Amino acid sequence: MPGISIGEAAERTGLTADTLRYYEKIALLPRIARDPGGRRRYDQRDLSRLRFIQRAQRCNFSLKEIGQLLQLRNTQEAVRPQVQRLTEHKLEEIKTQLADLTHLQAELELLLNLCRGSDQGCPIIEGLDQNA
Amino acid sequence: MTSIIELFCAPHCRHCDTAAQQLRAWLSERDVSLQTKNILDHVDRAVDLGILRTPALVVDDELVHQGQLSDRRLMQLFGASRCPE
Repeated sequence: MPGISIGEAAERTGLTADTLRYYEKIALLPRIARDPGGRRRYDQRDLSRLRFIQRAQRCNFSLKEIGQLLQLRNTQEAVRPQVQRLTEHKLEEIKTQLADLTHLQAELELLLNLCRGSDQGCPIIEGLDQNA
Repeated sequence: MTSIIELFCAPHCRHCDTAAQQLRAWLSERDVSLQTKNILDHVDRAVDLGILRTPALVVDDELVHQGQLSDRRLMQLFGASRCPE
């Protein structure tokens, strides 16, 4: 039987076996294939779906929202308008977060360079104080 | 139109005072005023301009130089040699 066991899937994703079973229970994952002994076998598509769920969770999407977003991954047909709107909205949120992170990255690089170029004191501390 | 020239400096920056003196001398006979700014008072703007180190020279809202400033670089930027002092 191809695929990997729930233990291997848990190890590869960093999730627990209980979490994997829970995702299947609430239909974030489709029913996972079983071997003749009834044990779950996860294929590449399942793992890809799990990685998508993890990425979305890191972006603070709720499990309900993730479930809706996953519809876009699963169907070639047109998704419901509200799912499309949710996806557009979430895409805008990600762009905003990305812009914030890019700005923060540049600011930290600048402050670190100033600190490295200074013989005395650390402008990072002064910069953070002034931004507070 | 008169250019606006800004020099972003940082506290304890090794080359900032020298750069400011060089620039003032270079620009002394031109209709240009040099604005020196503490970068820590303008961090957001500095980031928007793409500044990563000081001294940073900005001409008309465009970052044209970062780091130690040489006479050769001033010549490239402003096109004429400094007036004799």
